Amino acid sequence: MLRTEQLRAVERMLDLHLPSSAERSYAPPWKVLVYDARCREILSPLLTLGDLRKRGITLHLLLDSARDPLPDVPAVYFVAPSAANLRLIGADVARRLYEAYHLNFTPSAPRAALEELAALTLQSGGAGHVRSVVDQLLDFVALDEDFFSLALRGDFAALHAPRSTDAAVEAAVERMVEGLFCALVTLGAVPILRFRRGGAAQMVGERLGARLHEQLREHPALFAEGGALVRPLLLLADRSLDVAAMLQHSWSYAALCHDLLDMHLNKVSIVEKTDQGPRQRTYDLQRSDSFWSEHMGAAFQLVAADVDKELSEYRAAMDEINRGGKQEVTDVNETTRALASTLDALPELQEKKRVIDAHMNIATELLGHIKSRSLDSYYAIEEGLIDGRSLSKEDKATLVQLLEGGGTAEDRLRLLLLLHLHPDGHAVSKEEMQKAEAALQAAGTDLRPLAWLRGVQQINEMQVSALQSQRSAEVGAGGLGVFSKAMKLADHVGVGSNARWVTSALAAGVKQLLPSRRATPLTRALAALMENKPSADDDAYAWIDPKASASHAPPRSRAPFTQAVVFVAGPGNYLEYLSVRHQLAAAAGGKKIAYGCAEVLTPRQFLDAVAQCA
Amino acid sequence: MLPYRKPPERRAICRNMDRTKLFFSIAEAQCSALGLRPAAQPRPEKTPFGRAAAGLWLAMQAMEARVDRIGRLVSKSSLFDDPAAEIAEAISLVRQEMGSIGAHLEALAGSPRPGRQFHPHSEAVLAWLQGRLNSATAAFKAAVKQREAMLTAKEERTAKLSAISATASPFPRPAASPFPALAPSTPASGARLPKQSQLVRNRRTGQGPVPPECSALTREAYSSPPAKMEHTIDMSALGNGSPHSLCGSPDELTTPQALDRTQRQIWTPRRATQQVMPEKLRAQEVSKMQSTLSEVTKLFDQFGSIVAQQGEMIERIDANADVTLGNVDEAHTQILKYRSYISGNRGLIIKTFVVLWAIILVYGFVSR
Repeated sequence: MLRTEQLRAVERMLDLHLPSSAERSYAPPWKVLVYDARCREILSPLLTLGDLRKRGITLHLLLDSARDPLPDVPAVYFVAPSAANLRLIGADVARRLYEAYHLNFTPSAPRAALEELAALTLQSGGAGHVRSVVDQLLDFVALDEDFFSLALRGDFAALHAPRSTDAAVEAAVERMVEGLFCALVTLGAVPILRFRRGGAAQMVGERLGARLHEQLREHPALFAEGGALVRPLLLLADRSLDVAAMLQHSWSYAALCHDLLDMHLNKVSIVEKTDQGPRQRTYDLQRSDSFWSEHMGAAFQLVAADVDKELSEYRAAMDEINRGGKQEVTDVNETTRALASTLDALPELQEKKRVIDAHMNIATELLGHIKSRSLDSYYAIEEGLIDGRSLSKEDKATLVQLLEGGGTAEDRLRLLLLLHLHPDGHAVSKEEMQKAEAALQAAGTDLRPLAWLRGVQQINEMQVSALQSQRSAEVGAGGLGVFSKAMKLADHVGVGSNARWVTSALAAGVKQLLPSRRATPLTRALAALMENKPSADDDAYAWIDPKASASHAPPRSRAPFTQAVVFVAGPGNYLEYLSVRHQLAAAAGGKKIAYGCAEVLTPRQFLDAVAQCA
Repeated sequence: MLPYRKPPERRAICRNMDRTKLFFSIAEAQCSALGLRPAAQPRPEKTPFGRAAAGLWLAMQAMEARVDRIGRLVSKSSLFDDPAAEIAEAISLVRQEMGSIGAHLEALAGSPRPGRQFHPHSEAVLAWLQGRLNSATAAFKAAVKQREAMLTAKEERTAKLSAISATASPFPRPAASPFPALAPSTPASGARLPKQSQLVRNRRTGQGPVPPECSALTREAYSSPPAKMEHTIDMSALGNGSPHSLCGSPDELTTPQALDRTQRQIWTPRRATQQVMPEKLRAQEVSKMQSTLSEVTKLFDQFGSIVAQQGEMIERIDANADVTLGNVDEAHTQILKYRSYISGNRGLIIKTFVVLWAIILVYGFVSR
């Protein structure tokens, strides 16, 4: 819904905001699109080059690149209203580069910016060529219908570094509020805000509440016609609620692509070794790719098996066609009809082949990484650790082995951090941890994340202990022993007793694992808040209704929410997105949940960001 | 009537803020403040390529509109009002236009287009135009194909109709009267009367050889294929009013004049109505069908709106049910709380009474 709405807004912008097709037909539809780097990021998951061409966009250029005059073509600008951008636009108008200028600013141009723009264009006498000036409020990147990122770089450091100034924190929060506001406007809904007190989430929540309130008072038109009978819940969470999600190794397809292949803006690039040297290939993973949308959250071995299956299906279909060609010609009509159907089927098959090839290559690449870094063992152990299961003897042995020399230094560091995050498992003795730390230090690894984590842990200790006691109370002390024994048994058989045993040539030699279906702190909080019943979780989160004014507050409804937006005020990743999505699948009824974060970071990038904070 | 709200028009929602007016008001204010004259700069001039491409675009739009019209005319398969002339004219026009646009496109592609960014731009424009032309050509071809298919279908239909009318009437070629054909055999027909009546009997049972010397009436009956035999007989029997008139009264049939007269009496009006009837009937049927269809459409519309209303209702009911559920749950927790409160009280009361009784008993024992 988010991506569709954003796409609709962008398409309107590219159609020059003309209301109907009748008006569009007067002038030729060719336009030039000029954007800056940020807006390119916004557009790239939405539109392909072909889509742009279909809309009559002949050229798409960066604002700060060298551009030649095209005097008979109107230009659509889609830029942020920064001073540098305004100057460049003024220079374009002065040079008479294009026929007309349709200026679109995102998120919104303040009055001062408009004044500067007017002054610049008046100086060159080209103000009359500016056709429209529009605030677009599209300042977020919709990676999927229910996944958005604000693409704010370096905000984690700004928020969490001990030496960051108040102004830097304010600016970071302000940017987050602005992006989130854009996303909400695009969704067309005024949500109920919930956030945990203390930390960045509270700052964002309070600012956003005030911003929405002000907007509703001054320009209610922006949210009018939203038509939403049900208001969504907006859950703002701090990154410190669940740091483990950023560090853990993953096992689902999308998360693996992100972690290992650095998937960026739904694109994965793989370096292929061909005869003519290495060549980079880029694959676009969109929702329109049915294999991708089906297998995003699937376990890796399942993906491998299904790729195999699709490939054999494709081969069978091709064989069918080839055999059909060799058949004896009995009836001319029959043959021509067969030929026609083949011709119809061929493009479809070719498209399928392209998709299968892409996924085959990606899966092979992933498999290489998994095998060389023994990521399957990492995943199994980490999953056990975070879930609070006591590890079996063999698992402990592999854990020690991994700490000593499995995978890359980064993998070991991540495991060590997770061990620090979950010390209650008593999986490894203190000495062994120190030994591993010393080994990493000797190998020249940056150990600043560890220092940062220790600092954060002291702050979070109380929250974690409260959570732990609550959970152990839930399970019951007596049942726990039996349960963990059963799980251990399952571990012997292969992690997850209900794991599908798939025999596949591709995934041979990889453990049969299931992607995590565990409730994370985030999904647990989300479930509790969507229930909207009085509970401990419910009390821990503040409640803001932007529609309520100070004098008149409507009574708080206790009806459960059917729509929710989860926003992590900090970095997020595909692992977390998929766990939220899984919760949506598990919850009965037509619940809609969208997940957003300030920026999408891979574990490696996250470690870098954390290192800056220490 | 339920408060039924139409679903909002998605296109109409505007989630951006148009600042054009504000911009120009600011610009005007600055103009007057600085004493500048607005709109000093002239519009940049069009390049020859741009002009040619714009011309092509206009031509293409006209052509597309025409193709669209052809498509609509063709799909409107009216039996009685066939705009053949219009379609043919439009088709030939479109053919011409397509040729000229294609030629212009090629010429434009061949023209020099210098410039680092102008070249890719012009390439994209040409590709775009070519794509539009291709899709228009495809649409045009489809329309022409449909038109041809319809024409052949129509021909088949008319052929079938004429065949039916031929078998339905004993006199297949309506222009020429069958009676002249009867004339040469008239002298013989009277003499061979017994044989003919025999034949008539044969024919009514549906078998027997076809004698070459039989009358035109019978020959006609036999000349139609055997499958339609019975039908033909039926028709002729019906047409004659009574079978007796054919074979029952030989004196009437003995003279050719008599035969002539009876047949003319019976058939002449019949033939006229048979030619007119099917068309009128068909027209009536079609109009009847049309009205039924429109009624059905109306019904469906009503049904659709009712269902939509129900959807609204259900949504509300759903929300209400959710609220109710929440309230019930809260009430439950309240009752539980109250119960625990009460049960706590009960214990206290019992204890108090026990102590009271004990005191009274002790007092009683002591006082006694």
